[in-house]
Amino acid sequence: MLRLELTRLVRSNRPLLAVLSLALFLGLMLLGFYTYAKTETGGDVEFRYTFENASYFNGLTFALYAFYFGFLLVLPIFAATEGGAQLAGDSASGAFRLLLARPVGRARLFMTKVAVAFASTIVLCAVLLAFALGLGLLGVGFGDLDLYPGVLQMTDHHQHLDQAVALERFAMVLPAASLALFAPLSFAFLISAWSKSPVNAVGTSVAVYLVLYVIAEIHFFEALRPWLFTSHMAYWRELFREEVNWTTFFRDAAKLSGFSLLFLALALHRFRTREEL
Amino acid sequence: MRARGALLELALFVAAALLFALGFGLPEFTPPAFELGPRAPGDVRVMTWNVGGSGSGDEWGGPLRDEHVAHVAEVLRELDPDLCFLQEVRMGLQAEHLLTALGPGWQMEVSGSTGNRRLVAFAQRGSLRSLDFDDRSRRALTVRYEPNGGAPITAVGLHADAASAQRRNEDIGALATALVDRAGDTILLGDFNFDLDLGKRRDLFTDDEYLDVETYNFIATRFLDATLGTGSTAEPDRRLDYIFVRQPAFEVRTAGPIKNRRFGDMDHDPVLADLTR
Amino acid sequence: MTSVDPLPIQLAGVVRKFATRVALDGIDFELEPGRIAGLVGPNGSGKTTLLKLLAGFLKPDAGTLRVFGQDPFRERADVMRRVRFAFAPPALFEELNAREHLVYLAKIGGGSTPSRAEVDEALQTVGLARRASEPVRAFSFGMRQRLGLAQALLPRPDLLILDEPTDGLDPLAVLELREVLRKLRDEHGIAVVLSSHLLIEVEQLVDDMLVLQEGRTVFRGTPSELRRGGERLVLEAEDRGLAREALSARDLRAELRSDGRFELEVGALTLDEAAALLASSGTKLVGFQIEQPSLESALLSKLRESESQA
Repeated sequence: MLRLELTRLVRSNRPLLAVLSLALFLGLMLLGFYTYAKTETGGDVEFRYTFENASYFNGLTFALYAFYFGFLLVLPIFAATEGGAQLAGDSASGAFRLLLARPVGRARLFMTKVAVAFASTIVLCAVLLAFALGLGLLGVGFGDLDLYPGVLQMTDHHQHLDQAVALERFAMVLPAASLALFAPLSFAFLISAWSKSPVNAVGTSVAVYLVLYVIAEIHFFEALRPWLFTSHMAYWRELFREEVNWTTFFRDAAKLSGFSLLFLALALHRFRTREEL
Repeated sequence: MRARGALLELALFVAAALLFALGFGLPEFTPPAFELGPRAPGDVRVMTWNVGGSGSGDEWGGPLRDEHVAHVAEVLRELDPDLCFLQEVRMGLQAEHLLTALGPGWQMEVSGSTGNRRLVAFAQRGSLRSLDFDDRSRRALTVRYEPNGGAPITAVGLHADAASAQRRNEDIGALATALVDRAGDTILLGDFNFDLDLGKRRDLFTDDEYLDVETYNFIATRFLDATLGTGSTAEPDRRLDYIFVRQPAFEVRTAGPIKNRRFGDMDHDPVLADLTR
Repeated sequence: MTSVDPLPIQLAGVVRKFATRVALDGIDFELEPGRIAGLVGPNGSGKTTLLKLLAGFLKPDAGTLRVFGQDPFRERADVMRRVRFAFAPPALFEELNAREHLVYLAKIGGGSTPSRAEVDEALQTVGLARRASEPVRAFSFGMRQRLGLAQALLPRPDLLILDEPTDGLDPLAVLELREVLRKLRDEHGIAVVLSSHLLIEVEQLVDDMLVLQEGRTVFRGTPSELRRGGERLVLEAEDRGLAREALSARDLRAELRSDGRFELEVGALTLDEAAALLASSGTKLVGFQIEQPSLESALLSKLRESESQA
C-alpha cells in the first residue's frame, strides 16, 4: 500500500513541479535580495537614518530569509496541494473505489496517505533548505549570521551566530520546520476529507491558511492568536538566537503537534464514516 | 478492522489533547522582573521617566498634574538617580516646584516647549549644564553632567514624536549621529515612542513600523540598549522608554523599568540604569 | 466453501434514499454460489446504488444487506477478501501500467504478490497482454475497461461484481469475457453479479435476474421465467379482413402485426375455438401458436406494466 502510494506520488508531476517552483522562487528571492541590498546600501533610500549596510548581507542571511519566506508562503501551499490531492483527488478520480474494493481498512488507507504526503512535505522542505543554503553560500557568499530586528520578525535585537553554529542551527530547522508544516498538511487533509473536488479542497485549504496567517499577524486579533496554528508555525526562528529558549521552542512544537493531530483525528473520523457517493 | 480505526482515531484525539496540555501548560517565557539592587561605588545611575498622564475623555494624554509633583519628587528621592530626565513636565513653574520638592543638592535644566509641556533634567552629586547641542531642542534636552570626581557625560534626553515615524526617524537619527560624532561618554535616553517587542507586536508591518525598526537598528548598531529584555515600560504592555549608552565607555551593571511607581493616570514606569565606567 | 458458508449476497427489504428521492425501495434478492445474476434496469433504476451498497461505499437506510454474511459497510475489509469489483467507468491509477495495477492491487491488504504467470493470464483474459507495460494514461476507454476487469480477476474471488463489463469491448472480447465468466462459474463455483443494460449479454449468460425500475423490483427470477410471463397467442387467417371482424365481434383484443398475423393474450382462445370462430365467419385458420417473446420485449412489457401500475 505504502509502495503503491509512493510510486504514484513519484510518478505524478507534483514533486517535479514543486521543486521547479521552489527553484524559481529562490531565483526571484536572489534577485530581490540583490536589488534590496543595492537600494538600501546605495544611499537611494527615502529616509536618511537606516541601519542597512552591506556588511551583514551574506549567504546565510539570504538562506534564512529565502527559507523563511518559502516556508511561510510556498511550502504550506504545497502541503495543502498534497493533502487535497491525496484524499479529494482520489475521490474525484474514483481511485478510492479501486482501493476501497480491496481488503484494506479505511484507517490504514488514510494513514498511508498521510505518511506519503508528510514524507513529500519533508522532502520539499529539505529541498528548499538545501537550495537556499547552496545558492546562498555559493552564490552570495560565506560568513557569520547577523540578524537585526526587521520585517521578518526574526529577532527583537541583534543576534550574532558564527558560521558553523549557524549551519548547525539550519540543520536543526529541517525537523522543526517539517513538524510545523504538518499542521497545514493535516488541515488540508481535514478539508479534503469533506470535499469531493481536489480543486475545492486545495483552494479552501490555501485560503483558510492565508486568512489564519494574516489574522495571526494582526494586533487586533491578539486574543485569538494562541488558538491559531499559524501563530506558532515559525517557532523554529527561535533556533536562530544566540541563546535558544528551549521552553518556548518545545511549547510551540507541542501546540503545533496538538493542532496537527487534532486535524488528523477529525479528518480520520470523517474519512472512516463517510460514504463514497 | 473498523475497531482498529476507531482506536486509532481515539489515540489521535488523546495525543492531541496531551500535546495541547503540554503546549499551553508549559510556562511562558517572561524575562525576570527587574529589581533594583544596591548601587555600587563609582556607578552612575541614570533615569528617564515620562511623568505625563494617559489623559481622559477627548484629551489625548496630558502633562504631569500639579497634584502629582510631590509624588514624583518622592520617587526621585527614593530611586536616587545621579542624572534623571523627565518628559511631559507642564510649562510654567511646575519644574521649579519639582526642584523645590526635591530639596537641596539637586540641579535642574529645562528644554524648550512642545505645546504646554517640556523636558526637564535633574542631577545631584555633580554639576549639570545644558548644551546647545542640536536644533531639535524642543523634543530633546542635551546636558553635560560631570559627577563629583568623574569624567563628564553628555546625555540627550528625548521625547520623540508620538504621531510620525518619519519625524521620530529624523529626530532620533540626527541626535544619535551627533552623539556618535562627539567624543567622550554619551547616553541617549527617553521616551522614543516605538515598541520593538516583536514577539508581542506582530502586526503586518506598516511603513511606520518598518521605519521604527530601521530607527531602532540605527541606534542599536551604535549604542548599547541598556534595558533590552527587561519588559514593558508603558501601558498597554509596551516598551517605549529606552536608555542607550555608548560603549566601551559604559558597562551596564543593572537596568530596567521600576514597577509600581506610577501615580494617578500616569502610564509610564520610570526606567533606570546603573552604569559602570 | 463449505455448506455452512453464508450466501454470497442476501438482501432483505433494502431501502436507500438520497435526500427525498428513494433510490432503492425494499429490494429483496439472494444469490447462491456458482450462479451468475444479471442486474438490469434503465438509467436511474438504482443499479449503481445497489452495487455501491454491495461494495460498502453506502449504507442502507433500512433492511439488511449481507455479503457472505457480513455487513459490507461495517466490515468492508473482511468482505473484500472474497469479493472483487469492476466499476464503470473504470477508475485506474494514471501513473501505473497495466501489470503494476494488477500486482499492486493484489498485494493490498496483505495479499501475496501474484506470479508473473498469474498476471499474464489475467491480462491475456482481457486481451491486454501485449500492452502490459504501457502507462494507463495512454489507454483508450476500451482498454481501461479491460484493465478494470483484469484487476477484478486477481486474486480469484468468491464473488465477482461487474458493472457494465462489456462497455467499450469489441465483439470478440465480449465473447471471450463471456467464456471467462462461464468458466469462473462452472469450474470455480464463483458467483457473479453483472449489471448491464445489454439484454443479449444477460440472456446468454445469467442464471438469475433482478430487474429494477425507479428503485423498485420489477422482476426477480430466471430469464426463462421472464420470457414465460410475456408469451403471446399468434393466429394466422386466410382472409385477414374477415378474421378481424370475427375477433372484434367476440370482443377479443387482437393486434394485427406487421407480418399480417394477429396477436392475442395466451388463453384467449383454444385451437378449436379459434378454428370454429374463423370458419363461422367465412375464412380459415392457417396458423395457431404460442410465441415466446424475446427477452427484450418481455422486459419492456414488464417495465411498461410496472410503469402503468406506478
